[in-house]
Amino acid sequence: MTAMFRFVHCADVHFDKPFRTTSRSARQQLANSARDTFSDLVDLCISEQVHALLVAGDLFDGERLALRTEEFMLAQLERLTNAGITVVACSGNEDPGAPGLRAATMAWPERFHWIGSHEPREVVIHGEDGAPLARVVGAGLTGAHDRENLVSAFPHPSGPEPAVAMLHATVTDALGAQEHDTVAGCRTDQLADKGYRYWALGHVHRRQQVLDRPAAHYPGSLLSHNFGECGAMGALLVELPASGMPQVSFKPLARVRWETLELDELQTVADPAELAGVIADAWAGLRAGLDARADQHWMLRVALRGECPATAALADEDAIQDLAQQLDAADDELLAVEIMHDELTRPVDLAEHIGQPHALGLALEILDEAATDNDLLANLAPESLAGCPTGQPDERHAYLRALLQDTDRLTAQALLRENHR
Amino acid sequence: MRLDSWDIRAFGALSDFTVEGLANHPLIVVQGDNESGKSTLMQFFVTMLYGFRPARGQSHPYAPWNGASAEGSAGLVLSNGSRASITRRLGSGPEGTLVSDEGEQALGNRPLPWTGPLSREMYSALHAVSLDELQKFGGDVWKQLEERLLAGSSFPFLNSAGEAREQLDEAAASIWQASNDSGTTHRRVAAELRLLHRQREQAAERSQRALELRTLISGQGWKMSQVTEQLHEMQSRLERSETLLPVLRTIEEIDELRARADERLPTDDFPDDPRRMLDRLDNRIEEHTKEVDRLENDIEHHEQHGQLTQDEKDILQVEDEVRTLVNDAAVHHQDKVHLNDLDRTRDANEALLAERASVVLSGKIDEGVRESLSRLNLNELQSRVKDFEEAKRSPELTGDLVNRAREAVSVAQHDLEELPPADDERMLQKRAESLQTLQSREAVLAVMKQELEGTAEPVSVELDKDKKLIGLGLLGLGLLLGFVIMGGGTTESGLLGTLAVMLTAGGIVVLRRKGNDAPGPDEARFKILTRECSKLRKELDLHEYEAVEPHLKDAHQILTVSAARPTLERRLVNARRREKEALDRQESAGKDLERARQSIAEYLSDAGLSEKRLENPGYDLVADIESMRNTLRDIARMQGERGAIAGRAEERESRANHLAELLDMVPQTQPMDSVPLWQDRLHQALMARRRSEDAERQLPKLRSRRTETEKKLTADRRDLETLTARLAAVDIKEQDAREGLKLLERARTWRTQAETLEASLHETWPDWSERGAEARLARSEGLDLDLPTEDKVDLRQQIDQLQQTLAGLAEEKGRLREEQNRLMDDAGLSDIDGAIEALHERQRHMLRQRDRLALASAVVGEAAQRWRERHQPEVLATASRHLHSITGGRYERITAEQRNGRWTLMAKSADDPYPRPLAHPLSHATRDQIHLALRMALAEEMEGDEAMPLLLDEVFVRWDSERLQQSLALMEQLSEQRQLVVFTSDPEVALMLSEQAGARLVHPPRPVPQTTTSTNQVTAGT
Repeated sequence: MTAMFRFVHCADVHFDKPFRTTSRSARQQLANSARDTFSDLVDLCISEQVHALLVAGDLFDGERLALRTEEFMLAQLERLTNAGITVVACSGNEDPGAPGLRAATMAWPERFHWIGSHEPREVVIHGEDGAPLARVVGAGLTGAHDRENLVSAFPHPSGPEPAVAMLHATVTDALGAQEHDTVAGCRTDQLADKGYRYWALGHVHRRQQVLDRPAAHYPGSLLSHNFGECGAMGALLVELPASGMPQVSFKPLARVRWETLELDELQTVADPAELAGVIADAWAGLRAGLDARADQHWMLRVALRGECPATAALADEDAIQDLAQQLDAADDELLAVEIMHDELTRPVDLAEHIGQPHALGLALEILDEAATDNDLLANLAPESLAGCPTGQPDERHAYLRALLQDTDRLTAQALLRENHR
Repeated sequence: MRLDSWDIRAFGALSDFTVEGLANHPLIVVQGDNESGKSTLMQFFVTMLYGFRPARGQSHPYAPWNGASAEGSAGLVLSNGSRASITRRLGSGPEGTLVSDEGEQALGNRPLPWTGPLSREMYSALHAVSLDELQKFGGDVWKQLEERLLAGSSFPFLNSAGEAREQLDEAAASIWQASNDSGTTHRRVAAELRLLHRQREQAAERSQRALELRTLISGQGWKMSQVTEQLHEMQSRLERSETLLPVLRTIEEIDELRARADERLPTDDFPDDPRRMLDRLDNRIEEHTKEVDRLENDIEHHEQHGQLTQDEKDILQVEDEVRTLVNDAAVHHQDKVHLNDLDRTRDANEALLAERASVVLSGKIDEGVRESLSRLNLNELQSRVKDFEEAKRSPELTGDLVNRAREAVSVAQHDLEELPPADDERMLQKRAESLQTLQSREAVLAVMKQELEGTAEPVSVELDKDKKLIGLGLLGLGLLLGFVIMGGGTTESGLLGTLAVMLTAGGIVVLRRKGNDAPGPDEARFKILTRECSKLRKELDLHEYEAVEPHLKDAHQILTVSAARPTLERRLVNARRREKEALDRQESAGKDLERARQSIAEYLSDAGLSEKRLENPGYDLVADIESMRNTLRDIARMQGERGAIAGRAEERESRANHLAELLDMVPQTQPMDSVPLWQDRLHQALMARRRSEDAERQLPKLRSRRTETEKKLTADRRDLETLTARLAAVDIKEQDAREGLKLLERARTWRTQAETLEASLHETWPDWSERGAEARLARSEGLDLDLPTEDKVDLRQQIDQLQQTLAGLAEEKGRLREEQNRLMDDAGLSDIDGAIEALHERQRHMLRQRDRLALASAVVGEAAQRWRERHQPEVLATASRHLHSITGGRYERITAEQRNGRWTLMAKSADDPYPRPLAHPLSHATRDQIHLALRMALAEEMEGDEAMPLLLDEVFVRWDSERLQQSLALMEQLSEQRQLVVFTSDPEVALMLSEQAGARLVHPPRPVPQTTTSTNQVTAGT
């Protein structure tokens, strides 16, 4: 009876990818936690006694990779190979494999297989008895904007052992694919035609299964780097039998999670102190519903929207910083708190003024018309749009239409005298 | 729409305030002092039109002072002439009811349907004009007003469009400006970004440098390995000369020593110390020889002392019998003594028995008597003796009862003899009665005497009846008691007699007192009684003054004793009867005693007892017989015991005799006397047998040890011979063992020296073996291990130089590593890029916010423009008409012009060909008029089909009479289109409007304190 092929599938580790936060201390803690997370990944592989670790591209972030990080990364990989675990990594758009680039200069450990070219390469995984257990076929990107479809070059599996394909690519019908540059673009039907039992994909940071038969998975990035990557991050533990479907289970590994807390029911919040309490309660409620690690740390963004009596008190940037620090200090597990309050307005009763023959009534009427009247919107648009510098008509129009959201409240806030709504 | 009536149930300070019949009056003046409730009334109107705000009773600013719910109603006349009434109340929630031509409908808190598009705020702004507003008509305020009036922001809750745009533009400009961006947030962020990008360039350079350093460090490492290789080679040469040569020489010396030893002694299989072994073998041979001799002696000794004699064998054959007799000898002796003791005791008992028999029996105690005594049942005898003893101890028998009966007869006879004769007793009875009578009558006499002497006190009439009853009662009771005493003759009769006398006397006294109350005492009766008493005294032989009481007492005592006569007589009869009975029982007891004695004699008839002892056979006889029986039993027991002991003694002696025969001994008179002799012989025989058994046990062991020792002796002699022969063989020439031993020891010394050298070599150079091999190899390769001193010095110099070079390279490598570490410690590209990305994100949000602000500003501008386009011409035209009318044609029209980007109001007077800005030198009054004209025009423009009432609150305060006169025209003009309600505290203004403009004058009631309510019905004005 052929043994089960057990492996861990991860991708988009992005060693030394920037963490998008203005807090220097948070960035440093995040960098440390990234190393700890990778160390946890290695521990997982060893404790689960897997045969291989497959890294589907973007192990590190190009030339940003610091020497010290490189030393750490190689030491961890060596820890894996010393434990008898085969590591196969293919190059991605952030760590392309062209000669002369960073990946080519590294002193990879033994039993580590770096696949850095378009030509698919096969790595045979052996079982405890030395007999071939599985075959891993992978191809790598050679440049940051490598758009060539590499799936077509993948050969059909050569032996009787279960075969796994590995590629850093954009499967164009995957969720969130548009959030990333398209590299090595391909479709799910192309994956299905190749005869592999499992496709280990990388590049799209949102964890998902893009194909049932054969199974094709994006494990998501190993850890988050900005608020666009909320939720639990980690790797997939895959058990691939000689025949039948693979068993895939997600293992959350990221030491730090990024979450956004959106609050838009603030009509009764009178001052920043009360707002701090409301945010703390809402955060506690949100966190209670999240399935997180026991030692989880967090990056929190609080997006405040809608009407709030405390808007005027929060107009000062120092007040916002005070509020963020207050929230941060109250929770040891928070690395940093970021508060977005641009879309917060003081309470205005728009319904009271809609249709009234005064300036505010007319302004609301105009905004209502502009939502559907492109000419009117174009006439209203400022001559120079700071946030849309390209000036392309379509882009400018879409930008203006997006701006209309909540402009009614902003306008009403400007027209209404203080203490009137 | 015109206001026709109102009924304020409770609203602020006002309550129960009703006004009717207003619809026909286009102008209504509400006149009252300050704080009289004019403003409250104005808010009431607004509330009736639009509902309560806020809609909670507790927080409403016009919550009634009297604590009730805010409530009121108003009647309206609409422009089409129809009527409507509205009722509103603010209880737990706002309620409202509207009654119109369309019927009754629940209004809730909604505005009236005829308010049209006008919101509450707009109505308050346009139709309620206050003094405060007019007072602000000057300077910049007017400019703002102009803009408000002309840009759709003429409402107090709105900022002007200009203000709003200015605020939005300012906020947008603070973020980003297209032309001059200095000072903006965007500029500051951009500066931060520029700084970060510079830092990024430096970080990139550091990163590049770190990579270069990695290459340099790697190169340094290569150089160091090269130098190290050279160094090692030179150090090897020097080391060879300094360390290989001595090793090689020592190894050669070791080899030489071992070679010599091998030559003399190729194989050394001798013991470690052969000399000592030779000595030890000699010693052991000597010891073994001595041991064999000692064992021979011991064997001989045991063989000689291990035999038994015939006597010993004989006695040992009867060992058990001897031992039994030895054990019985002591018992035998005791039995002999015991037999003697028994004989003596038997004799003593026989003597004792004979002695007792002489006392009890009539003759000697023969066997028949002994047998008879033995058969006796002592219990039976005891029972019969007991009967005899009890019969003997009977009281009747002793005569005690007879004596006591006789004594009782004697006492009874004596007591009867002590009583007086019967005649004396009758006389004494009669004397006692006379004494009793005498005593009673003398007591009555004493009382009567006191009364006769007048000492009795009067008694009230009311007590008469009771006293009579008491007196009769006492008298009756006393007499009755006296008769009882006299008839009974009890021992207590003395005291009772006295009591009877006292009761009788008391009754008499009471009756006498009663009688006293009746008319006149009975002296005759006193005398009769006196005589009777004297007579009685004589009869009784009593002196006149002698007391009666002692005699009466003595008589009663004697009578009391005499009363026991019947009792004593009965007692005497009984005593005599008991005496006779006692005599009978005494006779019967004697007979019982004799029968008991006879019974004992019969029972002991076979025992041969003496007659004397049978006369009084008591318990002592039983004791004597029992003692004799015990003695007889002891004698019999001792005889049995003696027989048994004698039998056992004879059996022992028989066995002793038999044993003597077996041992061929002459029989003894006392056979048991030989037992000690036999015992001694047996002891000697047993000791001999023990020695023999010991010898039998020891001899095999001794013989075995002798055999083993002889074997060892033989082996040692053989070893000695072998060793001596081998040592002799070492000495090839002489074949002398001693010389061979010396040669052996010498060869061993050489080998020891070789091992010592090798150990020393190992300690100095643990790798001496490799060094030796290396040295031999070097020598075989022709290398000269023995370098000259000059060459060594030269080599050392070269090594020092290489080491210095290596240290320099290491130092350089360390410096490079240090620089690399320093570079890696600084912020890396990733960290800086994170900050840059975060700032870019912030910048995007910021610019988006700027664009949103700019868009909002444009929307506000568009709204103002749109308002002007829609309403400005009509408002200005209407306002021009109003102004023309108000000013009597002095001003023709109002226009608006845009100057320097802002709208300005212009007014054209009749005598001016061009419109002029509404500014100095226009008077305040003119500007007030223009403002009112514009407000009216705006009101008309904004409201719906119904012209809403206009509320003017104290707007004429600052107006002089001329201006007031002018305002009349305004009032008239305005009131043609809508109802005007003027609120004023000035009575003159009110009077003027009333007289000259036909206004309906209303006076609000004086506000009442919170706890009181009153009804104010205002029915008419002038």
